[in-house]
Amino acid sequence: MQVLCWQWAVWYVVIMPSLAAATPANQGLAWQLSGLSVQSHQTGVSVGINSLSWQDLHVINTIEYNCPGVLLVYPRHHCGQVQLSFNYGGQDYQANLSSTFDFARNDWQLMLSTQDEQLSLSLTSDQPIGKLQFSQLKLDNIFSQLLPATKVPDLGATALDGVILLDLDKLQLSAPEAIVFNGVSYEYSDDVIVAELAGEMVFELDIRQQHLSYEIALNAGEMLLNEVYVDFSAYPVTVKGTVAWQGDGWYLVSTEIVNQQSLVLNAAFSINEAWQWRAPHVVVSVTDSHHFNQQILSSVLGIYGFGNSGMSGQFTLTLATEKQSFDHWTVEFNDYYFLNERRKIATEALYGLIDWRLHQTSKDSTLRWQNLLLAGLPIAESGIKFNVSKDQLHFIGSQHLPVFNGAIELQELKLGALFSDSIEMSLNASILPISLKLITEKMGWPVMAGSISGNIPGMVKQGSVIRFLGALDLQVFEGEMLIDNLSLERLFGVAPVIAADVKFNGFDLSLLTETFGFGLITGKLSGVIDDLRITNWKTDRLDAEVYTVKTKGIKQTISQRAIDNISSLGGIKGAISKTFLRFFDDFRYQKIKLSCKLHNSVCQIGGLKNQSNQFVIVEGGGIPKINIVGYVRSINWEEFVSRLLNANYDN
Amino acid sequence: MKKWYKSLLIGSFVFVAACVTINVYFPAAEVDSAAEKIVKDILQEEPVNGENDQSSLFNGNSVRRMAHRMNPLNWLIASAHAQQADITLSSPAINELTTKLKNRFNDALKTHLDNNVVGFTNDGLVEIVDAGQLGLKDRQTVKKLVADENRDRVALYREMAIANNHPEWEEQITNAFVKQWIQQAKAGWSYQNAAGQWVKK
Repeated sequence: MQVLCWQWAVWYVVIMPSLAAATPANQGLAWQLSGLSVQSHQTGVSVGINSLSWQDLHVINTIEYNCPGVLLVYPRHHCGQVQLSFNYGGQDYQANLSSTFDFARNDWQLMLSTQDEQLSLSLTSDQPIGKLQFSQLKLDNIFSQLLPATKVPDLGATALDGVILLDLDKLQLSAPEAIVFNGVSYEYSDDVIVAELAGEMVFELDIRQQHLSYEIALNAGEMLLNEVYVDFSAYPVTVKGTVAWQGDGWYLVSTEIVNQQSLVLNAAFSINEAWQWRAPHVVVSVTDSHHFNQQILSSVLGIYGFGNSGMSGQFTLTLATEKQSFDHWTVEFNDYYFLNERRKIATEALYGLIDWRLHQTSKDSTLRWQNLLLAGLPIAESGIKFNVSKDQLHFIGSQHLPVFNGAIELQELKLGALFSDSIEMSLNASILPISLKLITEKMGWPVMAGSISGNIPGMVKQGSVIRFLGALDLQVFEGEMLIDNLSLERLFGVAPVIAADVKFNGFDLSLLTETFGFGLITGKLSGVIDDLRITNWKTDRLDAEVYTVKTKGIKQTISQRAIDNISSLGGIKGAISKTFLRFFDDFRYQKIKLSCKLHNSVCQIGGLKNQSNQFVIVEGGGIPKINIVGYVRSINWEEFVSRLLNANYDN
Repeated sequence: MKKWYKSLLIGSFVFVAACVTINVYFPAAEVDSAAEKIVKDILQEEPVNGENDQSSLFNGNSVRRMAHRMNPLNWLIASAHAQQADITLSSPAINELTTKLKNRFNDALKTHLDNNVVGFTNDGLVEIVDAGQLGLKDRQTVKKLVADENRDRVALYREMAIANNHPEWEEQITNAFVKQWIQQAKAGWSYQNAAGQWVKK
C-alpha cells in the first residue's frame, strides 16, 4: 500500500476552491474538510475523509471513496464505478459515483447516483448548477433515508420522474420542465385524505429569498375534504401559486385552483413553521354551476338533504378575514338557476349580492329573480333588499312579492339569534287577495272560486317548527275561512308538516258542491277543522265538523246524486237511485252535519244525533222527507277522501 | 246535632265525589313495546311469539293498574283521565318514515352495520365508527347515508310523540328507541354505550 500524502494538498487546493466558489461570497469558506487520506494500490484507489461540512450546518462523516482497478490519480483521474459511502445524521449511506478530475485544468465532473439508480446528482466544475435527475423515485424511501430522524408525512407510494436543477451560485432549486408524479396519498384523518394523486408540476425555489413558485396539474386521483369529494380524473385542476417570506417567521401563501370548465378558486393566507395560519382570504368563482354541481356540489348537497338539485349559471363566494378567520362572507349570484323538485324550491335568473359580517354591520344585500318557488309557493319577478349583520337579519323597507294575481307584502321581517336553535322572528306581513282558482290550478286540486287574503302579524321559530302568530283570512265560496295557529315544520326537510286550526263560515254549498262535482246541495255551510296536520302534503290528523246553517232567503235543497254520494260516505250505497224516489230531482233538508276525527289513518265519522253505531248526516224537511242515517262509524281516510273528491264514482 | 252529622256526611261524600284524579304518566312499557315493533320491522327481524309472554302480566304497569283498581279510595274518586296507554304506531308520517328507514336498512345500512363502518349511537341515531375500509367516494356516500338516516330517525321520534298527542314525550320516545336499536342489534354490530364508548355487541 502506498500512501500518497502529497496529494492531500492538491485535493485541498483544486477541489475545495471550486466548491467554495459555488457558495455565496459572504458566507466565507462554506465547505470545510478534515482528515483526508488518499491511497492508491493495485486493487484500486481509496479516498477517505473524516468530516466534510457546509457552513457547519450539514456534516458528512466517514466518507469512503473506493474505485476498483489500477487508475491514475494525478494529474487526471476518472472512475466510472466509484463505491461511495458516508454517514449523514447518524445514518450510513451508500451510493454509486462516476467521477472525473483534471487537476491540471482545474476541472471536474461528478455524477452521484443511488444504488437503485432512482436518483442521480450531476455536478461539474464549469457551472455551479447541480442536476438532480430521478426516475420512478419513491419519495418515502428518500425521506426515510435522507431524513430518518425527521417525522415526515406518509405520502404513500409517491413516485417521481423528472429533473431538478440546483443553482449553487444563486441558491435556487427549480424544475423548469414538468416533474411527473403519481401515487401521492396522504391521510390526515378519516375525513381529510388524498389518494393516488397523479399529475405534473414545475416549481422554482429561491432559498436566499425564501420564495417558492409552483404550478401543479392534477389529473388523476381522489380527494376527500370533509364533505367535499373530488375525483381529479373527472375534474382535473391546475394549482399554481407562490409561497413568500413575510418576516417574523411567517410566509404568505397565494394559490389559485382552476378547473377549465367551472371553477376559479383564489386563496391567500399566512402560515408559519408551526403550521399556524392567519388572515385567510378565499374567493370561489363558479363559472359554470351546472358542471360544478354535477362534479362536486351535488354530493355535498345530498348530505344536507338537498340531493338531486339542478343548477346553472354563475355564483361567487368570498370568505374574508377581518377580526377572525372567515368572519366576512359574500355570495354573488349571476343569472343563477336552481331547482329541487322534492323540496319544491326553484329560482330562475337570480341576481344579487349577499353580504354578511360577523363582527360589524354589513353592507345591504339585494336579490332579484325572474321566478322563485319557495315550498311550492310561486313568486313572480321581483326582489328583496335586506341586511344581514352578526346574527341578525332584517328587511329594508316594505317588500312586495307578487304571487299569482295577488301578493305577499312584507312590511317588516326581523330575524335574530340566527345561529341558535330558537331563531327570534318578528314579522308583519299581509297577503293581498290571491285568486284561489290560480292556486288550485297550480296545485292540481279541484278548481275553486274565491280568494285568499289575510295578515300575519308575527312568527316564531323553535327548533324545526315555525309558528305564525295571527290568522290567515280566506274569502272563498262566498264565505270566510280563518286559518289559525298555522305552523310549518321541517318545511325543507324530511316529511314536511303544515298544521293549523281552521274555521269557516257561510260557504255557498252550491258553489262548493259544483266545484267538487259532488251533486248539487244548496244552503250555507260552516265548520271547524281543529288540529289539522298535513304531513308530506297528505292529511295526517284532523278533528273536523261541518254543518249547514239555516239562513234567511237561502233554500236548503239536496239533489238525488248528492244524497247517494253522502249516503256512501256513511256506508250506505244507492240510497235513492234504487228506489222510486229517484224520480225526484232534489229534496229539502233541515240540517246536514258531518264530522270526522282522523287518527291513525282512520276517520271516526259522525253527524247529527250520534249513537253508538249510527248517526244522522242529513235530516230531511218537507215531503218527501229524506233522512240519511249512517251506520259505519269508522272509515278508512284514504277511501273517505277518494269518495269525497271523486264525484263520478259508481255505486 | 243529627242534622249536623248528616250534613257533614253528605258534604264529605260530595266533596270526595267531586275530587277528580288526573293520571298522566309516560307509558314507558307501551312505548318500549311500540319502539320494539318498529325497530323489529325496520331491521326485518322474524316475528317473535310474544303474545303469551307470562312476564308481561307482571310488569310494572300491570301491577300498578291492579293496585289502582283494588284501592277502595279509587271506588269513590272519579278517574277523569286515567290515561289508556294505547301507543299509536301508525300515521302517514310514521308509515312513510319507517318505510324509508326499512328500505335504507336493506339497501345499504345493514352492510355498513355488519362491517362496523356505522354503529348505533346512545342518542338514537347512527354514526360513522370506522370508515377506514372504504374508498373515498364511498366515505362520502356513507356520510349522506348517515345524515339521511338521522334526519328520518329524528322525524320518526317526533312524529311518534305527536301521533300520540304528547309532543313532550319526544325525549322519552327517543330513549325507548335507543334501547331497542341496541337490544335488537345483531351480534358484532357496533353501538355506543352510555359512557359514549363504541363497543361491539
